[in-house]
Amino acid sequence: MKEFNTRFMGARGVSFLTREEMEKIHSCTLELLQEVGVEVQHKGAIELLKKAGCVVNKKRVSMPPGLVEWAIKQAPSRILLYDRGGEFAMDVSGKNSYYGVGSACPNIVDSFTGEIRLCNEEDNRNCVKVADAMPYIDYMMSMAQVYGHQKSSYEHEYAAMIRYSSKPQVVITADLESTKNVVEMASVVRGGMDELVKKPMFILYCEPTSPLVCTKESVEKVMYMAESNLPVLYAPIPMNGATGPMTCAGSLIQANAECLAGLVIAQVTRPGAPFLYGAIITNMDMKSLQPTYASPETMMESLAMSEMGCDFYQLPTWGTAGCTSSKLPDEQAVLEGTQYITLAGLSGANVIHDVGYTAFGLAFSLDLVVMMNDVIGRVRRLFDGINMTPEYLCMQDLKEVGPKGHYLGQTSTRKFNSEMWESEIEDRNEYDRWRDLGSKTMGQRANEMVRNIIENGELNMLPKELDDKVVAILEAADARERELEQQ
Amino acid sequence: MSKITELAVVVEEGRIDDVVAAVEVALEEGNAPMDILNAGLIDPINVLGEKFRLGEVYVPELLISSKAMKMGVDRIKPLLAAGDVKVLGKAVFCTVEGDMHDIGKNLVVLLLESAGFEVIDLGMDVEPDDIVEAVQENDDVQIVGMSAMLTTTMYAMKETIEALEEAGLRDRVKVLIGGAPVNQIFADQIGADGYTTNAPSAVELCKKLVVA
Repeated sequence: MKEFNTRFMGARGVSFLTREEMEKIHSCTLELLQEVGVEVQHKGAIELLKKAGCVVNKKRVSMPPGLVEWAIKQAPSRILLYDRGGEFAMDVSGKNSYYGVGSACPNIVDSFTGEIRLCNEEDNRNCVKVADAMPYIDYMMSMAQVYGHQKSSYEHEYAAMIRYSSKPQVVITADLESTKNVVEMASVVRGGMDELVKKPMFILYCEPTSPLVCTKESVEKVMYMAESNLPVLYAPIPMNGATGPMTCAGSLIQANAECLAGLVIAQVTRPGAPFLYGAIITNMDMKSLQPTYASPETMMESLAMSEMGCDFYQLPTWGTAGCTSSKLPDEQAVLEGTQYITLAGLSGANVIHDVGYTAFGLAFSLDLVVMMNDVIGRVRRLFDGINMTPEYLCMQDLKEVGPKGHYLGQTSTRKFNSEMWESEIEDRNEYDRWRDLGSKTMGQRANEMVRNIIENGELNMLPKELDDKVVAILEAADARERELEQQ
Repeated sequence: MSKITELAVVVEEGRIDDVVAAVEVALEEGNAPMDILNAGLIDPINVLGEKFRLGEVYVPELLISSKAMKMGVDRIKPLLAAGDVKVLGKAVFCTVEGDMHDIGKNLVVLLLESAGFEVIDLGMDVEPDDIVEAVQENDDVQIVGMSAMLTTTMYAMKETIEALEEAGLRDRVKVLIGGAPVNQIFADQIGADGYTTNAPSAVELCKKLVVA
């Protein structure tokens, strides 16, 4: 497999906000955080915020502009992630874009039967197996929600990621205890907490509840990660017209306030704590009352958040792409996913998630992951740009071949042909060959690839000794769950 | 590794700058010129041809290795008896009158040469009379190949076949046609002997026709 732009050379840029407009969003955000503030449902955090100069009335915390701007300056502009084996994998900074699957979908579009049904533990493993085999998927995030474990389902999802894939992760957890279990699994694999801090393997996903509520669980998790000096993200998901204002600008201000509130909590807990900035803002469809997830407005808001994070605050950013409101991996899914992946890359969002998400998150499709993997490959190739160094100008070939000649036998043709991007699922055959291969659509070829990986692929297993330790932690979590059930 | 095997590697990797020296080293080692020709120059091209068919290597790799093979053959030819270098067959190829689109024809020619054919390439925009003349001058030609890219130029193929008939040469050669606008129905209509949709299958067809 050829590699293209594995460290993105930087987006060529697509911009929805001018510098003045970013300043406007920032100042409106400060006005909202000071005048209205946020509800913080965590006593310890409220104490810290009060000490830092916030005005507190019961759970309502008003954050002064000086504190917010202090917090923005404290957070690092870069998060480095390492894979399971300790190799450097992701430079989360600047305009580097990395794509990952996600996240925590209750249903799966079954690649064997075509039906949409509830996920099970086997789906969880198969999803990791397929996503691990995708060369352009940079990191893991849970795909199939594991049912049958009331408390420890997230630990089961994480265990599959770390046991069957070497890629870094973005992790969702239920609460503080489940976060600690996940950290424990990662730290045994890494060889201790100090090593995990030196070489972080995952970013913890947390979210406030829009509008303007920092829930107890989310704050606990943010504070625990900040105390541990491990990276965390705090991404609100306001729905325009329902849990955020209808307009893009209005919801951007609210989402910015919610995200920055999380940033302030992280920084008063430990100045310098690694923090990923971002939000998913998506308008609600007022006919179906569902989030749209890949509407043009959603994409604009997502891209504007990347701009705010990278260009205005110099913070690493969280992004979304490769997802759809369509139920199946159909034309709409490919259209929405492709446009979003391309734009997210152009915007330079750093950690882009939700590749494979269908039905606005109610289902997950591995067929879509395979197709979107291809799109990410194309985008990477596009961002390599045009090489203008002397050898690439081919002046010697141009002069040698001249009029009426051809380039098929030039050594430069052989050499540079090997740099052309190739798809694993696109059809580029001549007509007869395509017909002889069964006259298939791209969707059919993607589906065959998924089935083949599930049926014939090998799991990228964690070494036995470490695997036993991860399984022991998982079993202990399950045992605690059974105890709770008996009480 | 014997020097012949080393030569075969040089040819397979398409190292055109090293091939002549590799032939000389093989000669110095005391190998018979025929063995060098067969095992050191022709075998690796057959191996590559098979890899190309399976999609493991691409056209540029095959063509550059063929170039290397030819350079090696040129070096060793003076040492061989006449008739030692066997060609699979001989063909005349062109893109027909009025048509300046010859990349497809070039591909077929290059692949044919890689497969061991000798090809007289008349180029593009070739009048029927020029083709007749080429067949007349080379009485060992077995195949005439023509390409056209346009619906307006493909009828020149019919005129060429008629010209061959008038000259009394039609029965001496097999006529193959190819190109985006033509198809089997058109080939049958104008009395061509063969048509294929792509370059590799054109080579297969040529092989069949010269054996028949």
